[in-house]
This record gives sequence, structure tokens and C-alpha cells, in this order.
Amino acid sequence: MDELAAELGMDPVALRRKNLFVDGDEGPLGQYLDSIHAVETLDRAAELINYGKGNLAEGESIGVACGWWPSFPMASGVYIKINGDGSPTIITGAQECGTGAVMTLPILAGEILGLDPNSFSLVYQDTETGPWDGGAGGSQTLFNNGRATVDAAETLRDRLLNMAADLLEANAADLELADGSVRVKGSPDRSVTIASLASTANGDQQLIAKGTGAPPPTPAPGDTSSCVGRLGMESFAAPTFGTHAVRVKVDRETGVVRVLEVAAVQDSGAIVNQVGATGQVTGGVLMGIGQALSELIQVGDDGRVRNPYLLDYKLQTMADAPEMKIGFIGVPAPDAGPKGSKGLGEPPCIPTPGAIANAIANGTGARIRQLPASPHRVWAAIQGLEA
Amino acid sequence: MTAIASAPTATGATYSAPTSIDEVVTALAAGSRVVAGGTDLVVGSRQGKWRVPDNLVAIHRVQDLKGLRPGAGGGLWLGALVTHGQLAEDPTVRSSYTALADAAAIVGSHATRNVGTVGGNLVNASPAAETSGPLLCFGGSVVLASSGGRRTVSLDDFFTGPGRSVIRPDELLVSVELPAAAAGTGSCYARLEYRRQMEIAVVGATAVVTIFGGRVTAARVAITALAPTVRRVPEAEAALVGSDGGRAAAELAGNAAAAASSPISDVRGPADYRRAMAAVITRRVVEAAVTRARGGDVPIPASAALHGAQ
Repeated sequence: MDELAAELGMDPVALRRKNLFVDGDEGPLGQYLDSIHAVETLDRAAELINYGKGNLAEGESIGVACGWWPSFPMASGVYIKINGDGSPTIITGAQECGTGAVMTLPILAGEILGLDPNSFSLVYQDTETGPWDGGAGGSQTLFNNGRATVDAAETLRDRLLNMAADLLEANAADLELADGSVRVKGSPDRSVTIASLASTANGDQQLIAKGTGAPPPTPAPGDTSSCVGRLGMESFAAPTFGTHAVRVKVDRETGVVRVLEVAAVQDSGAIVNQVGATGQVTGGVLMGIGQALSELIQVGDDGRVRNPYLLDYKLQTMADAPEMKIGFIGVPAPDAGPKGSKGLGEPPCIPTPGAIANAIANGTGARIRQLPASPHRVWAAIQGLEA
Repeated sequence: MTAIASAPTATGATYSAPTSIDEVVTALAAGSRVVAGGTDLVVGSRQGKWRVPDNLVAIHRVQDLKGLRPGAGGGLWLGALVTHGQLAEDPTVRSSYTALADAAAIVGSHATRNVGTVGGNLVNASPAAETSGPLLCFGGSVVLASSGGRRTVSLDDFFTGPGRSVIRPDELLVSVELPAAAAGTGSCYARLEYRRQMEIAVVGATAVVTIFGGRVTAARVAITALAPTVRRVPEAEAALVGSDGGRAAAELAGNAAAAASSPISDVRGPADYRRAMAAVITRRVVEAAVTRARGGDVPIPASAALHGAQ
């Protein structure tokens, strides 16, 4: 995009703004796009990095890149159980690989059941115990397993309301769940604790519910002859967008690139778990920097990996982490996950490498065609231009 | 003296942790091998470079191998067990042997620096060892002990190849001794860094310069990870002595360092790039050493500052 902008004599951010999807656009496989906030991610990231304003220090430059990624719809399952002492347990087939997505499930269930999210125990990682889930991939855990959690919690909520309606001699529609109790709306002194309901729920009255959560509708198949085929159609359910803008410093003599600042703005619909989401973007950006600058599996002629250790397969370290400014659009998306949320697992590591490559090109004139932009590649590119 | 020793296992492996140098050299004479911080020995065995020896003598309980103190003639005595972390923090090292602080402060990670020792760094004899260049340029020598007695070896004569030195299997490196630093001396060690922690030198250089009356009166330059051993570059030193220590002289020294390098191409970088970086990094450490010799400030470790860090 930056090279196209240069050919056109346009500012690269302006060219992106002119071409990004907006509400009502038709996607490349014919799907109708609704509640799309790609342009807002571009504008906010540019603003956060001070794009086009302020003086950059010697050797510094800015680069911008946009990205999109699907929220992958698929079937998924959850059980929720309220134990005899009133303590709730979520049993899920979803896997936690450090994103915090599974840790977000109690927030959803707690809100529906009037229970403190911290009071939930979680059974996960165990495919023998939990119902089926597609696994920690495809940015799909909250999107699908979250819907299943809501489904199970709503079933349990209705059971609790009906049990309490008999005890409180009230219509279930006039009851609410809050602070660990079922109470009559407007008369909080007429209430019964969830723990006491659970203690009497025996036999087939046990408070166990399963949730599945139907996947949101996917666009009509249309032309599936392209290289992405059917996958491309499904991946356009509730697409996520993001823009990252980076400020780097290139040491022209050595080709060493330091990332000084990253502004990362994601449109992943509503944010259910602000702490988890911010952590996920922080990690995604750092992984993106590694992709951009240092992570390379080197394979010898004999087919063996030549750098099978973390000394020479260079992940970024905490000491390399730049200042990050992270933003979320936060607008609930239609046909999406719980509360209008979209995937956020993979999206935050998509735009960073392109933004860094653009920043290197803006600062040095050297366009790196192969990632990672390791020091000797950047040095060679600069030498080539200067020769 | 309470030696902790294990009985031989079924495979004949033994481990002892004595408290005196005499006990250590006795164990070495009987075929044991030394383990200090273990950051090379153990990690290398995990990578398949070698087997951990069957018979180990751990030296971490030997008090006589610990600490830094004033040495003969105003110099500095470093026990073999001085860690990189201690070197990086020590006020005398930072002020009078600054290049050594530069180097020690960037070895591996925080954990490596807390357990890795200067003796181990020298004996491992890696061409990429951070502390070797500064210790060589400061005119360091090592004291080697065996059951037959002690000898002192100048670091100029210590390294013989990658992973090889003149130390015999029955010898223990007891201490490193540095002569006094002359007035008007400044020094710097830096390496090319792909990232800021958990890094190893791909190209490194040391410069120690003494300035008197506006002229460089003495200079030592060494290159790291650019030859089979860390080695001095007499041509670079000659280019500096008698000069004003300015940019032109530093560039000459850098070019001499590049000419003296014989880098390899490996996963860490191609040889042509390393040779080109030898000139750049050497020029930068010379300039930083001159700045420090003149009383100017270059933060420790210099590597970060010389890479245009924030």
C-alpha cells in the first residue's frame, strides 16, 4: 500500500482511508459487511502515534499497516453446574493457551446468574471431561465458547427463577438474580439465596446445564472456486480489523532496528474483559515485532533446523518491548460473539510486521522484501541503495 | 573444612563440593572436572556440545576464589568466582576498568549474570566471550593452580582456539589480576546486538586508550566473535597511538580490526556482514573510550547507547 501511495503521490494513510471497508460494503466473496470500524482504527492509530505531526528524532521514522482477521464460527460446548453449597463451576472443552479467553467465561456467566465471577471454578484443558470445542485457535474461544457459556447460564437462570418463584410465591418474570440471590424486583427483602436453592436441588432437579450456542449465520456460499473457497466465506462472519502504527529507529550503519513506540487499535467488537484484551494486544504486538525483526527458523541443506534453541531463534524479550498505546473501538458487532464481541486472539499480531517494514522503508528508502528484517538484511538493503 | 562428597554411583559418577583450593586441585588430579556457575557446562550439555563430566568438583564453597580486592601495584584482583553481576556493579570496575563493566553487564540474562563467573567465562574460551576482550586489553593475567603448584599466564598467551586455552585438565583458574590503569585511560566494550537481553556477541570490540597532552599515548584494541579466539589487533593499536583520538584515527582502527578479522558465516550472520560490522563497532568503541578518557559520559553498558537506544 505504501508503494502504491508513493506511485500515486498520495499519503499512505490517506490512501488506506480511501480504500478500507466501510458499513454496507460487499466483501471480496460477496458478503454484506455491517458495523465495520476499520477506518476508525486507522484514524485513532495515526493520532496515537502523532502521524504527520511533530518532529522525529534523527534516524526515526513512522510506518502504518492495517490488518483483518476472522472470527471463526463453529460449534462449541459448555456445562455450568451450581454445586450444593452454591458455588458455581464452568466445565468447558475450550483450551487456555495464555490468551485469557477461558478466564473471560465467568464474567459472562456471573453477570447472567448474579454471581461474582471470582466465585467460579473452571474445569478446562481436559477434552475427556469437557464438551467439544475447536481448541485455542482461529481467534474463536470467546466468539463460540462464550456463546455456549451464555446459553448454559441462561438455562440455569431460568431454572433458578422458576424454583424461586414457587418459594417466594411470585411470578418468575418479576424476579431477578443479583448478589448471589434471587429476589423480587423492587422488593429486595423478598429473596432466596442461590446457595439455599442449590442445596435443595437434588435428583433430576440438579443445577447442571449445557450450552452450545448456535454459530452465527455465515454468508451464502457464492463462488467457492477461489483459493480460500468455503473457508473464506466462513471467515467473513464478524471480521475484525486493526491498524498498527509504529515509530522505529534504524541504525543505518549496522541495520539494527529498534521499535520505540507502537500504537495498536483493534476493532474486535465489544470488549468483555478489558484487562485480558489489553494483555492480548500487548503480547500480539511483541510477537509481531519478533516476526518483523528477529524470528527466523533457519534450515540447513540437510533439512535440519540450524537454530533450534532460543538463543538463536530470537524471540523479543521484555527488554525489547516498546511503549505501547492500545485502543479498542468497542462497538458491539452484529451476528457476533457474546455482547457483540469478535475475535482478538490472532488479530493483534497481524499488522505489526507490515507497519515496521513500512517504517524502515520510510526512514531509509530500503524496502525489505523478506521478513524478518534482520540487521544484516536491512544493512544489505541500505548498502544496495547507497551503492 | 567440610567437604561434601557423594559416593560413586553405579555408573561411577561423583560430585564433591569442597571448601579449599587444595581439595579442589586434589580432586582435579584424580580426574574430576570443575563446575562453577554451570551456565556454559550445563547448557552446552543440553545442546549436545559435550557430556557433563562423570566426576565433578563444584567450587562454589571455596571462599578463597571469591570477591574483588585491590591487587598488586594498585591493580585489581578478581577471584575466579566473581560473577558478571558483581563485575557490572563494582565501583572500581566501573570507574577504572569500564570496558569490563560494559561487557559483564550484557552477558546473557539477569540469571546468567547472577551465577556465571569470570573464571568460567575465560576457561570456556569462547571466541564470543564478553569479558575476554576487556581483560585482555587491560593486560590481565590468570593464576592457575594444580597439585604441583601455581603458574601465572598472561591472557595474551591464554587462548589457543575456539573453546581451547593453555589451562591443563588438572588446573584450576584461581584468579585474574589486572595491573593499575594509567591516569587518563578510558575504555569501552560493545557488541552488535540483535536484541537487548539473552544475547550473544555476533561482533564485539574492546578499546582501552590512554590520552596525555591531547594525544593517545597507549592503546589496546581487541575483537570478539571475529576470529578463532578473542584477540588483540596490533594494527588498530598502532593506528591510534600518537593520534589525537579523533574520528579519522578511530576509522583507521576500525578498518584495521576488519582486516584482522576472519569471521565465519553461521546462523548469527554472514561473514561479509560481520567483517563490515567489525569496522563499525570497533570505530564506535574507540570513540567511546576516547570520550571516557577525556572525562565524558558514555553510559554503562555502552552497547545500548551505541545502538541508538532510547
